[in-house]
Amino acid sequence: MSLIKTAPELANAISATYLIDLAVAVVFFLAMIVTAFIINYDYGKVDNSGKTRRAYFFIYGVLTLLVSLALNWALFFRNIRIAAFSNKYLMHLALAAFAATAAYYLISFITVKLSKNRKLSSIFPKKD
Amino acid sequence: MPKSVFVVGIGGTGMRCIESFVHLCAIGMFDDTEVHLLAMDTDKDNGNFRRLATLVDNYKKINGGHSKSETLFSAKINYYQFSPDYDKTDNATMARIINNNADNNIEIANSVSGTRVKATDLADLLIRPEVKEMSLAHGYRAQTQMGSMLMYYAILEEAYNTRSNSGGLRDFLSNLNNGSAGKQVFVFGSVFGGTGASSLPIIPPAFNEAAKIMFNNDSIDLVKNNYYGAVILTNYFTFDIQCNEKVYATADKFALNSQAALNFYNNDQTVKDVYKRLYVLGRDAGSLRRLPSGGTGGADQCNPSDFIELMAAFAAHDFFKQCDKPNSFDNPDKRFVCRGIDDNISHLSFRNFTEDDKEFMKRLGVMTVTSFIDSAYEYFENLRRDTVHFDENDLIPLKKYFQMFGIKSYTDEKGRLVKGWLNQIVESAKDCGYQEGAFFKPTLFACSSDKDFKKYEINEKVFNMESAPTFKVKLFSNPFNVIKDKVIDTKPENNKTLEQLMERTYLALSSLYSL
Repeated sequence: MSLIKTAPELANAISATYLIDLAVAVVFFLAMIVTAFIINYDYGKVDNSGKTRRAYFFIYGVLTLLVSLALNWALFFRNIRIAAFSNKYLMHLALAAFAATAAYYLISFITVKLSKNRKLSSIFPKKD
Repeated sequence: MPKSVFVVGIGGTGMRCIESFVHLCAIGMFDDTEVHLLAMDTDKDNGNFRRLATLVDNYKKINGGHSKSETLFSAKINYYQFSPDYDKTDNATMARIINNNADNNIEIANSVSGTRVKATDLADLLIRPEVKEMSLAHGYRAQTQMGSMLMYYAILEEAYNTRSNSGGLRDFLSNLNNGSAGKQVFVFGSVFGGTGASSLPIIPPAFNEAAKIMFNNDSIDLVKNNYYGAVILTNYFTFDIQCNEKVYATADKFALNSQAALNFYNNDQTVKDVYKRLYVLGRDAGSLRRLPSGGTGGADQCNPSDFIELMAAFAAHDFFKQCDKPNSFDNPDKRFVCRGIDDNISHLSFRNFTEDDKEFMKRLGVMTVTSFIDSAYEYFENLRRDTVHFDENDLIPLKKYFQMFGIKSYTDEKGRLVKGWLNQIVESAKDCGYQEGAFFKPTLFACSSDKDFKKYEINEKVFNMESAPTFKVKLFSNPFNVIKDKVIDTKPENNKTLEQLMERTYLALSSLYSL
C-alpha cells in the first residue's frame, strides 16, 4: 500500500475503512450462524449447547471490533505520515470499527430472535 | 372406536407369553386397540407373575389410559389378575378342599347304572394320596388330572364370591359379556407343566358358567358368541430340579406330557368346537433350552423370557387379524399348517416371527433405538428440559419400563444384575444355536459402560441384515445431534406431554431410518 499524502487519498482511505469494517461484520455474522449450527446438542440431563453458542455470539462481536481495528491499522493507518491526517483517520478508524461491531450485534440479535431454528434461537432462549 | 381384544395367560409360561404380548403393545403392534389382559396363576408369589404385574403397571402409567396409533405404547391395557391363592386360604391341599365341602361326602346315584358313589371316592380313584396331600401354593406341579378340576372349581368359587363384589375375574368377564357378540379371546398356556395344561381345555366353559353365576343370567353364552384362539406350548426348555418334596414337575416328563396333551387336543370335540385356531409351538428334543435349576415355584421361579414366547404373542397377533377378516372361520374343514425355522441361519430375523415383518421391524427398531438413546444420552430428560415440557415424575415409569425392556442391564431389588426382556430373547436365540442372536447386531447388546453406549454408532449398527436401514451423520455431528434435530422439527406444536414426545420420537426415528 502506498503512502497517503493528499486529502483525496485520505478520503478514499476513510471510505474504504467503512466498507472493510462492514465486510468484517458480515463475515463474523455468517461465522456466528455457521458456528451455531456446527455446535452439537449436548447429551446428558442438561443441554448446555445454547450457552456455548451464546459465548461464540459475543466472541465474534469482540473479534469484529479487533479485526476491524487491526485490518485498517495495517492497511491504512501505518501509511499515513502527516500528523493531521493521522488524527482524522484515527477517529474514523475507531468510529468504523465500533459501527461494524454495533451492526454485527444488532443484525445478529435480530436474526437470532426472529429465527425459528432451535440452534439459533437457543442463543437467547425464551423464558418459560 | 378402538378394537377390543381379550387375552388370557395361564401359569408361568402364560405369564411370560403375556409379558411378550405387553412388549408388542409397547412397540406399537396393536394400534387403536383396547386389550383386556387376564393373568391367571395358582402361585401368586411366582416371580414371573410379579414381574408381569410390575411391567403392566408401568405400561399403564406411560400409556395414560387411551388407545392411539403410530406411536409407542399405543394400545390401552386393562389388566386383571385371578389366583386361587391356595397358600392364603384353607384350600392349601386337594384333600382339604374335598374335606371342606360336606357335599363331597353325599352319595350320588349314577342315572344309568344306579351305582351310588361319593365325590370323595371319585377323587380317591383318580388322584394318588401324595398328590392329594401336596401343597398347592406352588401350583399343580404337572398334575393336570387334578389341576383341571381344581381350576374349574376355583373359577366357579370366585364367581359365587364376587356376585356382588368386584374382582379381577368378574371385571374381565363383565367386559367380555358387555355389548355385542363376536369378541376375540386368546389364551396362552403350556401343555407340559401344571397350571396352563390343566386350565387350557376348561377355560371357555368355566368362564361361561362363571358368567352365568356372577351376572345371574342363564342365557349368557360366552362360548358360542365369541371367537376363541389359543397357543399351546409344548416343552421348550429343560432344567434340573433340586427339591425334597414328593410331588414336583420334572423336565424329563415334559415331552411325555406334551405328547399326551396334543393327543387330547387332537381328539377332544369340546376343544375342537370352541377354539377356532390352535397354534402349537415347541422345540425338538435336541434343541431344548437348559435353564438354571430351581424349586417348585414361588418368588424364585422367575424364568428368563424365550423367543418362543414372543412367537406365541405373535400367534395372538395373527389370530386377531384373522378374526377381522370376513368368513375366516367359516370353512368347517380343519387344516394343519406347519412352519419351522430354516437350519443354518446365524440369527433369527423379523420374518421368523410374523408375516407383518416390515411393520415388526419398524416398531421394534424404533423402540429399541429409543430405549438405547435414553440409556446412552439421557434422551427423555434432555428433551424434557428444553423441548417438550412435562412433569419429571412422568419419566419414572418410562425409565422402569425401559429397564425391563432390556437394552441396558440393571440391578434388581435383591442386588442381582438382571438383563431385560429383549436381551433375554436374544440370549435364548443364542442358547438355541443362533450364534448372532436375533434381529439386531450382537454389538448392540455388548455395550455395558456409559462410555460404550455413548461411543456406539446407533445410526449404523442396529439391524442385522444386508442393506440395513441407517442414517447419515455429517462431519462434526453425532447421532444424538441428528436425532434431536429431527425430533425438534417433527410436530413442534406438540410440546406439552410425554405422550407427545413419544409420538414425535417415533415419527422422527421412523423417518431417519426410512422405516
